Amino acid sequence: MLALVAAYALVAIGASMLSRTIGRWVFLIPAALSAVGAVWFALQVPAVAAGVVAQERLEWMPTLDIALDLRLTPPAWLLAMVVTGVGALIFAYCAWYFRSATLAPRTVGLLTGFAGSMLGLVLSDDLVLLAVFWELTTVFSYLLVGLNHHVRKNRIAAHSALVVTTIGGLALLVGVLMVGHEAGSLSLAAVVADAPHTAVASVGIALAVVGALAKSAIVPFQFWLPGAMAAPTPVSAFLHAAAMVKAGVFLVAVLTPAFADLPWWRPALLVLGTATMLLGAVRALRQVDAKVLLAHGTVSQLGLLITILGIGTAQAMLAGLAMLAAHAMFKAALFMVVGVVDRTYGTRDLRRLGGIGREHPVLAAAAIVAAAAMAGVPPALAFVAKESGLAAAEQALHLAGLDPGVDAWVGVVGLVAIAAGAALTAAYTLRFVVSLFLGARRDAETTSSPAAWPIVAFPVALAATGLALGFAGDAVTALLEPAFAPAIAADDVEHLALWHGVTLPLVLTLAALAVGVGIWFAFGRRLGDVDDRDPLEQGFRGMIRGIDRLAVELTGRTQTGSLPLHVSAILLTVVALPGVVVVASGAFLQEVRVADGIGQLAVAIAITVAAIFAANTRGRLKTFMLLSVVGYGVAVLFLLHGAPDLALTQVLCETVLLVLLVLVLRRQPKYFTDRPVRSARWLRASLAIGVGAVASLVTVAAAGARVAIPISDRFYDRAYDFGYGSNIVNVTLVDIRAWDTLGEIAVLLVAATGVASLIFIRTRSADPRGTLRGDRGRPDTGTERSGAFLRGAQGISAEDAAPVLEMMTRLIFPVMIVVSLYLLLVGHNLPGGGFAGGLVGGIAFALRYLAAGRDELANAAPFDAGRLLGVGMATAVASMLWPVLVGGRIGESYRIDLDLPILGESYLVTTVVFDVGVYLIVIGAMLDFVRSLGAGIDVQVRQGLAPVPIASSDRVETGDSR
Amino acid sequence: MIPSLALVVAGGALLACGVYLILERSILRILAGVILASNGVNLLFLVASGAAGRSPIIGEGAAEISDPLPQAFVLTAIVISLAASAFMLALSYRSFQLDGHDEVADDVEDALVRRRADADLTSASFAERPGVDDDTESGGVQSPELSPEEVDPRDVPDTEEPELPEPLLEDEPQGAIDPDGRG
Repeated sequence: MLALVAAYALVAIGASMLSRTIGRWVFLIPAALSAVGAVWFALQVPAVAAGVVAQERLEWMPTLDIALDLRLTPPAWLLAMVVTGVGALIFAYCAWYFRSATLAPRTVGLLTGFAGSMLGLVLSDDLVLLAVFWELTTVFSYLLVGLNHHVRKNRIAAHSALVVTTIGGLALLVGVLMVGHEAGSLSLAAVVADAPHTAVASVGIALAVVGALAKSAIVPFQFWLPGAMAAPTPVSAFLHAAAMVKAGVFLVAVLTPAFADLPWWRPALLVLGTATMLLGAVRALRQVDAKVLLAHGTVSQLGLLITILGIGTAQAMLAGLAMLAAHAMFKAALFMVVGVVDRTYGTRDLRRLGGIGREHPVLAAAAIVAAAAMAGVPPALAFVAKESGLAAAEQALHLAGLDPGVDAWVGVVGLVAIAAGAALTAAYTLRFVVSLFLGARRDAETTSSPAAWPIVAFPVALAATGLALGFAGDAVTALLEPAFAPAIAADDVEHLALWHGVTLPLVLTLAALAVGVGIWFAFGRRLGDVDDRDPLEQGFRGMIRGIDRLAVELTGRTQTGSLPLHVSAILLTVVALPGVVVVASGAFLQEVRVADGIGQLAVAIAITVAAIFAANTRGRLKTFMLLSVVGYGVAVLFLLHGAPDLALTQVLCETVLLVLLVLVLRRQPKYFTDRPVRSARWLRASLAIGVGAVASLVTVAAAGARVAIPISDRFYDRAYDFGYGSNIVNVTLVDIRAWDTLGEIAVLLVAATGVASLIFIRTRSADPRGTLRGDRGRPDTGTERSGAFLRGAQGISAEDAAPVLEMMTRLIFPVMIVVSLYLLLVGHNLPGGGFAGGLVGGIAFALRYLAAGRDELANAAPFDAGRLLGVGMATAVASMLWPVLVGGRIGESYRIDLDLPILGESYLVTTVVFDVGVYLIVIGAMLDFVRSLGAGIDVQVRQGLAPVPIASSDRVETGDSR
Repeated sequence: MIPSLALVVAGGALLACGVYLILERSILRILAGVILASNGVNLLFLVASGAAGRSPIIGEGAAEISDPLPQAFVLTAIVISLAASAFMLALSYRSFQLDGHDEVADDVEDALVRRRADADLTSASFAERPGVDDDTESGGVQSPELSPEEVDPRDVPDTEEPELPEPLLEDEPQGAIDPDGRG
């Protein structure tokens, strides 16, 4: 069974890929698979009848007691036969129904995926697994209803179906979790065998039933099903008649033996089922679209199924399950017929059709046999099942008083409702058959094209099967016996049979058929325009509209669109909530010392002053120069604190930032605008001071609140034992907390790509050696300069060149690269590492650019920085993953002892590979930064695309951007 | 654990100056604010790491070294700040290139939503419009005679939804700066 479900998933993917090549014939693949499945399930008949339950179990989440657990119980077997047997015919039908030209490749995949999910759903014993498959069928249904999503009506229908059934699915999930908790097991079999009778379990079951009713289109959820007819007809036949909508009925049937005695069970199901049955039938009686007529008929039949099951006895279960199978066959057959009519006549409108029987006698015969079954005419299985349902209601009358759960009214309501439903069903069946197949053509322009024989053969096969099974009542009863045996009054079950003598059910059936003919004659023949508004559907639409309006109001009132205002709101919350708490608690009243040393005090004062000036100056360059003072000052504080790695990284980052700033500021005006007005400035200042004060107080309070030993105390020993390194900070980065670092380099990669994409709008570097170079042989100004120290500087005119810097660069570049590699390699034991090494390497490349422009940068790094980023990321990820291959854990590190010929004994820690990845990404990011903000802007300046600052203004002239 | 007041005050002051600048509209001033704030927070991290000590390198003595874990956090933060700064620099450049300034204007979409709320309308994506085609029977690909443009429902005249009130964006600071800085 697991293999079959998996096979559906594989076929769904494979067939989608083949769809473009072989067109509509692709449907024969899932048809063959379904046929194989149907044969396999048919071969299980002896075992199922003998009460043997086949089970397959694969552990999934053992700690949560969730498993891939499939059980072939009799109801599951019945539904599985429907899914595979009816499914095989529908898939084959699709091959003649669809046209290759308008067949999207996903269609076959979605339909096959649905079949697999539906099979999994009915076979699942694990309640969570059942909910998963349940949701999968919902999603597939949504995608199939919206198959032609170019049409708005279809999108709305798909949306309604999704929202309604998903609400049901959520209720189901919550419900089964509650029930599973109360029962102590998530196994459906265990829950049913030992039903928990607590209040929580009762609520859980109620929620599960709500889910079931939503899925099976029972009032008040019934409106999504007629809308779902926006799907192509085979989809409607399969999902919205034979299989998916039966999921809810199936769940109710499975739960009946255990929970039918809950006080709300019988009243709720009987009332809702009856209401649905009558509503659907009355609405079906007015339709003029043959397919929509059938859809309302399906709603009615689903109501009938729930009504029968709602009686809640063994007899009712037998009748309900038999009716379920019968309905799957005759309704699928009828949908197929309508599909053929639609294909051959180009319309489903009853007002334009009529008299089809003369042109397509075989099709009409199949339709009439299936329709007779729908109306409950003997000898079809549907007749037998409906008889059995009436018998169940009659039996409930006799059980009243004997069994505490069954009252007399259950029987009365059951008899009346089923009989009334049968009469209405007979009426809309007559409307369908007569106006479609008999009489004269109502629109002479409607002409027929021939239908291929296979597409007619499938409904014939289904209708014939439904008819033949009517004679196999005893066999069907025996097969389903294990399913209804646990329910009440199992000993008195009347077998399914065509003839029980002249009984109350038979009399009622015949009377209903007669009344049905009368209703059709009186109300069902008129083919006028329909006012098809469903108040429940209107209510649902209104609700969705209300939610949308609420969202618009809420967004419109709260989202002002002003960035400063939004940030202020967040920061005000910071001041108001944690701030008030920390002040009120007095936790900040700690013992403090002035400073760790006189140096720390001096630097702290200096950077505070610099920061205040930086916040108040209007000059762009001045602001950032002051920021550099702060940055380098902070580096000194790091050093004084005993954090050489931080100090090193901070200094390098400040340097890089300074270079980048200068590169960007050269195209910007000298001053910031002198805004905002004074009052706003004071507000901002007070908020800023509040945030700073709160952060300081919280920090002091947190320092005093420490009660446990810091986790890092153990790092001292572990760093060497496990990470084989002496530099604890570096071991932390590449080993102990390597996941953090992996995330961080991912941020670097994204930021670098973002910078590049903001400058090179179209492509990062289609030709890194070409686009960013000056034009060879045509220097920017003047003639080619001889005597340059760097090759790339030959294109720079003598007045623009910086020979001293060129010479220095020539000397210093190799040294810097060596230093960067040294930092990378010693990082594990001494200050340094991938970040510091990469930054030094990046600065070296930036120096080449600064000294001699973009040609020199292209010479220094003649490759795409994006590749370097990718290689770095791949290296880092691979270095984390490879220990898994040798049986270790992700990110585990190993020590490899080396005995090198000249250097002597040494050792290598495998995490250095991770650090190499970091190193490559940092260099790649630096190259991207310099290439974008340096060389990229140079090129745009040459092309006249860069902004030009306007003297003594805070504006620029925009580049003539294209 | 006794915190150092110098670090606490300096960290708080840097953060406050950073917040002051972040509440601006110029991208570069916001960038300056982010840099200041991140430096301030990094200093506060140092406070959380306890007293100053020797470098966290094995051999210096377990009791003498400063706490390495906050240092690893801060090292990560420093590099990420650099990456974010570079990105904001590029944003600022691009903004100058397109608009001639780098001020973050009020969001136009928000203004549109507000106008819909004022006019008691649903969201733009909700408004119900009649369908143009009843094709439900193809296998998901449009019939060839209908190009996607022809059936795009947005092209269908909308009967239910009233027009948005004029004037549309004349009084809105679209890309422009408004004088008091709060939209």
